Amino acid sequence: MALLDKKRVSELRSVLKGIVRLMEERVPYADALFLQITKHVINKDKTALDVDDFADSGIKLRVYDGWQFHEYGTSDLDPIELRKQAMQLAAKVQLKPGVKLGKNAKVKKVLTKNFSSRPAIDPARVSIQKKVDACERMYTVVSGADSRIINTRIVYSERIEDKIFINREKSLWQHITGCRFAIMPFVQTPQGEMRYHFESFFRPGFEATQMPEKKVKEAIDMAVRIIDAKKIRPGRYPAILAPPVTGLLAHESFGHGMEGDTMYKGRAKASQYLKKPIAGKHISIVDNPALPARNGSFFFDDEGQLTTVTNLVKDGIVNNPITDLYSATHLKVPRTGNARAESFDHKVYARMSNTYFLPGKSTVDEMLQGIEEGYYLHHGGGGMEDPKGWGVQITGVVAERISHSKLTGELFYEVGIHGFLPDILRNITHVGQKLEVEGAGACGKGHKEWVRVSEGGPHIKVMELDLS
Amino acid sequence: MSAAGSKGAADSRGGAIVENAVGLLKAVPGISWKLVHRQERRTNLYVTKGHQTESALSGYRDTVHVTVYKRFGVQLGECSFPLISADKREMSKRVADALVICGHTQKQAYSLPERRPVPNIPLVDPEIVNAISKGMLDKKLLAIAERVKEEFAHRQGFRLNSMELFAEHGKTLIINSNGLKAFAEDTEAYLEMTITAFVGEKEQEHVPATRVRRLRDLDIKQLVDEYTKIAHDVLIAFRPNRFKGPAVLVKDALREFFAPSQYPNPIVAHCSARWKHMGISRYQPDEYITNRPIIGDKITLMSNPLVPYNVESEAFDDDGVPGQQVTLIKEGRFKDHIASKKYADYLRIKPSGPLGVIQVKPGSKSMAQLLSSKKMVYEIVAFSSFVPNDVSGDFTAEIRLGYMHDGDKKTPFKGGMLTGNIFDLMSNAYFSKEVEKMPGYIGPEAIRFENAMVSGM
Repeated sequence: MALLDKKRVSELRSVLKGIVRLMEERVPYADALFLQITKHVINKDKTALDVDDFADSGIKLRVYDGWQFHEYGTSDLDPIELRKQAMQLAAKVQLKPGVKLGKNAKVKKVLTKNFSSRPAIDPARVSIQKKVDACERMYTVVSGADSRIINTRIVYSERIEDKIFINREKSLWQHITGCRFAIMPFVQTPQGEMRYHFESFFRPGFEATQMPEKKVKEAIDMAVRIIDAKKIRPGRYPAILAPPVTGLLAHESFGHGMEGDTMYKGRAKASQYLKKPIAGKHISIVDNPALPARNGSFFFDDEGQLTTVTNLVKDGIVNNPITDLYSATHLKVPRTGNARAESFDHKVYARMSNTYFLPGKSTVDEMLQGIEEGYYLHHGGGGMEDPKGWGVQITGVVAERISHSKLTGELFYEVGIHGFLPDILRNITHVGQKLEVEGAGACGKGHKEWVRVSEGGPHIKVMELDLS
Repeated sequence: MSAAGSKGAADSRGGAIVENAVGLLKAVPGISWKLVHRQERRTNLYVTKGHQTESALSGYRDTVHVTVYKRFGVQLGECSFPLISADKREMSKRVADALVICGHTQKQAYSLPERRPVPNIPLVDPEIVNAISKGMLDKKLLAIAERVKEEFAHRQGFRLNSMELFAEHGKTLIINSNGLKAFAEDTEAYLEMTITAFVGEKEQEHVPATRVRRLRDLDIKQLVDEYTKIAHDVLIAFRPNRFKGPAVLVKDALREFFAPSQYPNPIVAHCSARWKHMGISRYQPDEYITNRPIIGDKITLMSNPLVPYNVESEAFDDDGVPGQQVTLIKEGRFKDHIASKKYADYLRIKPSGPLGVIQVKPGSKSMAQLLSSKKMVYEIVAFSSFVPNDVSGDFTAEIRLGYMHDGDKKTPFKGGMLTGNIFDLMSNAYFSKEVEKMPGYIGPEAIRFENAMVSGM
């Protein structure tokens, strides 16, 4: 698919501006969102190398009648067809008497802005040969590192996202690039069980393929060590969470409960804690789509709201939820730049972006002190939200036993973390100094509505954590 | 209404792209190709707090995806890409770029499937199709939403906090250079409810989602009866202690076990011909799927994409290979693969068509027998989420609702994690003789694992 150039952006802006104006002849508010997402994916393992391109492109038109939204999403970009659909959409609206039409709203100045991410190496300017070579090289390094690795999968995925948002006050364009380089070595236990380890590295451009050597070595080492990993004896232990697991706690366990739409529907226990303490003063959690160069970063959301950081928990106090327009209006809380839709034919919800604990003052050595028997949690697979009960469910964790304040090297595979979130937050005694926000996955609302996100934080120490 | 055949969907922008693309691809010498055209029309209704409609969304999606294949001696290169414009010059450039990429993706050659009859599985709801053609689908969904609201109007102690109701009609056309032309239609409806059960200030919620092919299969009263019962029992449930012993999976927990929402069950995933080719399948032909001696029932598991109106049924796979019933596991031993044409050629077996509804052969014990025991039995009705490691088979899943059976006493519980390895659990499992049909699963109404582990709270 051809990349958007300035001329095409200008054409689209003009078409969408005309359509918004047309709809606001009949409704109080209208907006339009164009999106074009192209993905370029290279998969390499011992049997093959595959290259596949994907694209998602369309326009969403939306009107508000003072009570609800009416929306139309289409992949057909023909301007004549779009105008026809816009007229039909606006005609559906039954206005109540006295409602002010959008065409009569006074607009002083239209905010016109263009945003672009800044990759060190623009992936659109890198040849397919170089991309394939990067995958082949990494495959050779990982698969040749240890004879116990039975296969290795290397995935290079590149995403180029353009969005144009138009309403009567805004004309915005953002161009965002993102590349993820992932390695997945497979191993087999002596009992014939297959296992794998997963490590990924995200950067805005092709520089993602320059995964640090230390990270690659650690991934290979972990893959080989999990061959002998055991199942943990369920129980309550002191634990140190490495940044990827800290991130899962921030995202799955806390973040979903701070989504404004969930809160408005009476589904979030967090409502009872707003402006109240939930943890010690050393705990702060944020959602920050404006954090540069992360998988969950963007400049404006799908309702044209410019992004800033939201303090979910500040110094131990539950602060503000993340919102979309509908939930912010009804909850009477600040609008944050978190309205996101999976695509042009999906509704926006209040969604997380880059969610993480802020750093503290402790070192990992300090955290290890005083742990007679406990676990260091290296990596996590995923989790599931429970905003109403604030139950924690994080799965796929690789844990290492701590004994007498030292890491023992003894690993445990597919460990689960569970418990009641406020209890876990209250039990955090140490927060590490170094912030890492390296997550590069996707987040669903339940099992649908997928959006790209990142999560992370520093190391944290929890005095009592249920592991199984 | 017939769901399958070989006609196209030319009445669209995508139809014009298909016409131009096929003409262009046929003119390129020495290549093979495949084209997939998918059209979807949908209406989504979102109901929020106070039964207020937050949004009504209509969508139209028309996509064309092409794969080109080029021979390099005994090797084959391939590359797939989307087409969004009918412009022939842009299309030619796209094909030329893809053929360059083919040079980088050379692998063992395989052939594309030939044209074969497409099974005529009923997967289309005329009510959805007619409502779309008349522009009335939003009104139809609003009427169903009203029925859901009415069901809650007279139920004390329950609140419908929100609801999402979707319906869509899709058409898929696959054409390839080997003469294959396969066309199928399908419809689907989705209902998600957020149900809160409450007593005074104490509240618990349940968020069930139901997928069906036909609107009339949304039995609103039955669904609300079933799900309010779960929400109520979650409200009064206690937290379990650590437990090791027999656990019986039923209802949503059973469906999630065999047909998880996100990835296939590891028992099914290891049947993949691709995994076999990659060397990461643990199965050997006619060998037991578990390393441990099997004490209980030996599982027989089939993939059946031909079940009428099931949401996991499909007329053909991504290459156009027709759906068929395949026995994957027989009496505890691995029998056959789920294989696309590529991996079927590599393994020298027949392609299987798409993975469909998971069908499990019933056992010989009754539900009552499975739930009774001298020891305590944990019955698990729903997980918060069940996402096993598809490669290793390990899992930890939080229990949303279960019942502790202790003699004649049945007590609801929630929380705690069912933890273990799916392959290990299958070595000592029993299936009920009663059968249940669910979206994506047909088989025993219950499965009992003798050596289950539930970690307590």
